[in-house]
Amino acid sequence: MSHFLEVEHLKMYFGGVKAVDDLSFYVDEHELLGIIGPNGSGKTTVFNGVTGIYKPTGGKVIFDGKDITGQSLRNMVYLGISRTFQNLRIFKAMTVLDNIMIGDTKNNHSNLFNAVFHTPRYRKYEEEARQNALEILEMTGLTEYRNKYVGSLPYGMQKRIEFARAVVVNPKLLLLDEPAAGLNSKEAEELMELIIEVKNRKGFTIIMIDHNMKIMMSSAERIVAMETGQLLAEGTPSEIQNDPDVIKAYLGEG
Amino acid sequence: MNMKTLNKFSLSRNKALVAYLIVLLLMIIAPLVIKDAFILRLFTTTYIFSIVCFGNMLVVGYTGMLCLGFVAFYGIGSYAGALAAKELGFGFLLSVLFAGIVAAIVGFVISLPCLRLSVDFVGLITTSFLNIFLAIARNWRSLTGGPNGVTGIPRPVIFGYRIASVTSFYYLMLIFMVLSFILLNNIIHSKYGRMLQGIRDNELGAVSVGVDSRKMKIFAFTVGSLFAGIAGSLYSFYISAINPDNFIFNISTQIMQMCVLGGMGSLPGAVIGAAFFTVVPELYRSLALYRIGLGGIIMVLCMLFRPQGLLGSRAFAGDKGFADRIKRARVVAQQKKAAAK
Repeated sequence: MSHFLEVEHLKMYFGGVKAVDDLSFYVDEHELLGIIGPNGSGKTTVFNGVTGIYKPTGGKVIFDGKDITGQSLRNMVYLGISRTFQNLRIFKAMTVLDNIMIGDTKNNHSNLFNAVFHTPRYRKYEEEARQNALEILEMTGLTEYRNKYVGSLPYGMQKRIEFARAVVVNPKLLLLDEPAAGLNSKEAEELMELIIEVKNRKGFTIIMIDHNMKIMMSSAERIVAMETGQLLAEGTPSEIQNDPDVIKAYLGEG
Repeated sequence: MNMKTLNKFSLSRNKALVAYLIVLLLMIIAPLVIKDAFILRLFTTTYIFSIVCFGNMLVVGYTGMLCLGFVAFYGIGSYAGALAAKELGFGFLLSVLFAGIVAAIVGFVISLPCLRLSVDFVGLITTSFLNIFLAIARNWRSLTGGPNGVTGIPRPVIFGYRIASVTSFYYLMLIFMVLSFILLNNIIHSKYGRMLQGIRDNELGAVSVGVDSRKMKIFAFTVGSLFAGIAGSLYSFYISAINPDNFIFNISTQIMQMCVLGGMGSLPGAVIGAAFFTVVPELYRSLALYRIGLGGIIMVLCMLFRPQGLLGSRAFAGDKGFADRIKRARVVAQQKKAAAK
């Protein structure tokens, strides 16, 4: 009964709109769970409800044995959850390195006095943060772009940077909201390879939303299919692929 | 690999350091070469305004809040410093510190209602705060002297050395400017600077990696007004008489213009902007009536040709500048030509 993350009877209502209605699912440790569903089926709203951007109307989110329902987005990092966004939320007027180093804020215990006078304590933490960031950059293949401003880099690179930023906080659970959206198939494949590699190396648990069925089928270990805020089907990729309900939701009745 | 990266870091930092030292050296020897008191006074004013711009830069250029009434904090510092020295008999350094702290406290209070609002409304709040401040300054005669302001502010005395000559004021302001620069530069290159810039570029993104955006916004406002207050009190000691007209909305716009021209998110840019808008208006003094309009024209030209300001980061501009469009059009034309061949 104790899974790594359990979402129980999650409800997200906005006025009369039931964006997510009584949805339950779970993830086990080190698993890659995919969430699929047609547009407007409430996938991103699930993420927003879990990570505290919106407060759930009802239901519970239990992470690692703790009830984290309605905790703020900022607290997620401290609990060990980090996420990416569907529409990139990176820092365009900062360098790639700074974009990644900002993720080390929670480990950086130097205070304002240290920062103003550049004390040895400040230097120690700054150097740690830099090494940590450089390691992630190396892992994600961004090392050569570290001093470039993010706004000047192509979209695929920016997606990669957001992923790297989510990784650098060293979470236990990573929520990826359409990591491959807007990428061509080659870029998408490369990014997925990277995600799987980082996952195996760091032992992350990942929940991923994506539309790209090919990617989902090849990388997800289990898939949750949603429609109009409700659970449509759940199972291994091949089960989902052959599920009549899922086919109906995607292709319409034949 | 790691060694190489580190080398590259220190190299680019060294380059900046060398540039700063050269400029500092020029600033130090300037009074030895320039004997014209008028020009030295312009530089002195530039340094004072640079400190205000540092504060404004922290709030606007680094944190992304629009503070249109920033001169209010400068004014509060001005009055606080002047009254502390004149009425309470504080020494110079103590008065400056007192002024900074008073302004910082007010800045802290003003930042609280700004937390829940979007950028534009922060601009409105700060503008209205400026008006409240001006109304108080004009009407609370027993404290502020009303429209006549505070006069006869004593000359600063530091460790028994009385500052009165043009040159000594020049060096005093230079010292304060350089100290403010170093302190703020250190803050900006630390994790605090990264957090502030993160909030500016994408608040939700910053919160998602654990940045406490409310705390950091309050921090930016408080520290920004601290520096504005310090600059204000320096100004009152410098000109020895202040009145509410020194702190009207136009000055606030001017501070913003200095920051925009110098480049948002660049401290050296603040100094350049301050110098530009202090020195250049003197060149067209005969057109004094059109001063504000000319400032506006300069702003428009800046937006068209260099939207990020003189030293601002390229990333601020995107590719919306006029010059960028011309460049792009040229590239497209060349591609067409090549395709035709």
